[in-house]
Amino acid sequence: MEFSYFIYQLIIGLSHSMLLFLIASGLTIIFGLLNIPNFAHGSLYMLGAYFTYYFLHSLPGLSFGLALVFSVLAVGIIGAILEFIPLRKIYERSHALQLLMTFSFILMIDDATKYFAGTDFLSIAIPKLMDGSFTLPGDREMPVYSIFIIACGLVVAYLLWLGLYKTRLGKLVQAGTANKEMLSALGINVPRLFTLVFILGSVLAGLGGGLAGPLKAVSVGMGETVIITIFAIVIVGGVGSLKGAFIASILVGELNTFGVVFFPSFAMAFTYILVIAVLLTKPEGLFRIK
Amino acid sequence: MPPKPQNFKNPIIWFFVSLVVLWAAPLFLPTFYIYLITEILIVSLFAVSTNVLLGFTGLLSFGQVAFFGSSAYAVSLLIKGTSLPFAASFFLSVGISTLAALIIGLFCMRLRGFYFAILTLAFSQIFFVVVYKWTSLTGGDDGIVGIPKKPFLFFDINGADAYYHFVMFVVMVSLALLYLIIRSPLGEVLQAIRDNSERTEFLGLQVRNYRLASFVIAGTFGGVAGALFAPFQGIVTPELLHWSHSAEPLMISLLGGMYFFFGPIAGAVIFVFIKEWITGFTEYWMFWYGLLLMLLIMYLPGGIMGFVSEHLKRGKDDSR
Repeated sequence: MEFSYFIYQLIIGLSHSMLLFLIASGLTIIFGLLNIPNFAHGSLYMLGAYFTYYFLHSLPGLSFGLALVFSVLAVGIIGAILEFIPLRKIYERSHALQLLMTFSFILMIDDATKYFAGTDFLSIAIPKLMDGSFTLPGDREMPVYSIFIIACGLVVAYLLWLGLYKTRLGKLVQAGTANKEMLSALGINVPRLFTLVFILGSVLAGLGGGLAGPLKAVSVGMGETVIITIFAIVIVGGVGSLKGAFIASILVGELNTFGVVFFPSFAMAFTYILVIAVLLTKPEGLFRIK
Repeated sequence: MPPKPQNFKNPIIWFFVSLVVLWAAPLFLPTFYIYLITEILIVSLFAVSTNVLLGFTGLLSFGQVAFFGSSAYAVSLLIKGTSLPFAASFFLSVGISTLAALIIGLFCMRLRGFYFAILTLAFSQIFFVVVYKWTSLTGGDDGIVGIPKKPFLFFDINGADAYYHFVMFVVMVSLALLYLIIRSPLGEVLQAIRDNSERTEFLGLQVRNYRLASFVIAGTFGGVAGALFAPFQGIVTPELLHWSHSAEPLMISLLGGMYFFFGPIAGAVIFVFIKEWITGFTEYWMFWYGLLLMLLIMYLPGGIMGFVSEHLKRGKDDSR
C-alpha cells in the first residue's frame, strides 16, 4: 500500500471515528449514569438525520448549521419525552426489561418515521461552504466535509470533557455514575439530573445523525445498523468512560475503514469479533473509570 | 419477584384434547386460518424455547436467531442440494443448531445481564455476516428460494393442510418435551438460578453447567422451529438472521407472560393475530405493537398471563 493512500484512508477513517464518537459519547454517559442500555439510541441518531433533511426542505434558504441546531433540539425533546414518561418507570428493573422497552421505542420511532417520511432513501446536500476538496500528496482528493466532521468531533470531545470535569453539573454526573443513592442523600435532585443527561445524550445522537446526513443515504434502517457498533464502542471503552469511548471510537472507525480496504467481504464482522474478544477477555472494557 | 408457577391439572388430558382439536381444525377452518395457525405454532415453539432462557433461567439472549436461522438455512441447503430424505435433513439441521448452541454457549456462560445479551447478539451477527456474504453457498442477499416440502418418512406433507399437520405434530411433541424439562428437577434448578444464582451455587450446584444446559435446550428447540419454518415459507433470506429478528420471541414471551410456560404461546397467538389484524388497515403495525409493548412493560410486566392469573387469584381470595 502506498503511503499517501494509507494517510488518506487514515483521515477518512478518522472522520468515520469522530461521527461514531459523537453518538457513542451520548450513549456511554446515559448508560454510565442512568444504567439504561438504550437500544433506541441509534434511532435517535436516525431522527437527527431525518429532522435535518426535513428542516432544510421545509424552510428554504435555511442554512445547514441552523437546520442542524433545530433538528438537534427536536431530538432532545423526543429524548426528554422518552425519559420522562416510560423510562422513569423502569429504572429499578432488570437490564433485560430495559433493553426490551428501549427496543419497543425502536419499533415506534422507525414506523413513525416511515409514516411521515416514506421508505425512500433521502440525501442531504453537503453545505456549500464545505462542498469541495483539496489535494493531498499522491493526488488524493480529500473532501473538506470529512475534515469538518473531524473538527466537530474534537470540539465536542473537548466541550464534553470540560463539562464533565470542570463544571458542577459534570461533577454531579460523575458522582451519580459512582453512587446514585449517596448523591440523592446529599439532597441532589437525581431524577432531574437523569432527565438532563438523557436529553444531552439524545442531543449528541441527533448531532451525529445530522452531521452524517450528507455522507450517507438517510434511511430508516440506519439506526439499527449503527446501534450495534455504538454498543461495541461503549463496551470496548468501558461503560461511562468518555475517554474510553473516544479511543474505542477511533479503534472501531479505523478498523472498519481499513477492514473494507483489505477484506471487503468480511469487514462487516470485524466489529463483532472485536466486541466478542473484549467481552471474553476484559468485559469491564479497556478503559473503565471505576 | 416471579410468581410461583402453578402446576396445571391433568396436563396429559389437556395435551390430547388440544392435539385432537388442532388435528380437526382443517375440517372446519378455511385454508387462510390453517396457514395462520401453522405460523402461530412455529412462532410459539421459537418463543417457548427462547423463554426457557429468559423466563426460566433469567438469561436474556439476543442471539436466538443464530440457531433458528442456521437450522433454517441448513435444512434448505440439504433439501435442495442433496438427495437425503427430509427426515434426515431435518434432524441433521437440528443437530447443527444444538452444536452451535453448545459452542457459543461455552463462550457466553461467563457473562450476565446486558453483557450476555450483547455477546450472544455479536455471535449471531457473525452468522448473519457469513450467510449474507457467502453468496456461492447461501445465495447472499437473495437467499434460497423454492424450498419444496418433501415427504417426511412415509408421510406426504405437501399442501397447506398436510404441512400443518406435520408442524402441529412436531410442535406439540416439542412443547411436551419442554414442559417436562421445565417441570423436571433440571427445570427446578434453572428457576432457582433465576431467582438467586449465588444461593444455588452455595447449594453445591454447578450454576454454569445448568445455564449451559438451558442454552443448549433453547438452541435445539429454536433449531426445530427454524427447520419447520424454511419449507413452510419456501424461502429463507439473511434477514431471518438479523439481530432485530431475535427480539421477536423475546417480545412475544413478554407479551404473553415470561414466568409462565404457556405465556409465550398466548403471546404468539396475540402477536400473529395483531399482525394480521392491524396490517388490514395500516402497514404501520409495528408502531402499535411497539406502543403495546411499552405500555405492557410499564404497567403489566407479568404479561397477559400474569394479569389473568393475578385476577383469578384475587377472585379466589375474595370468595374465601
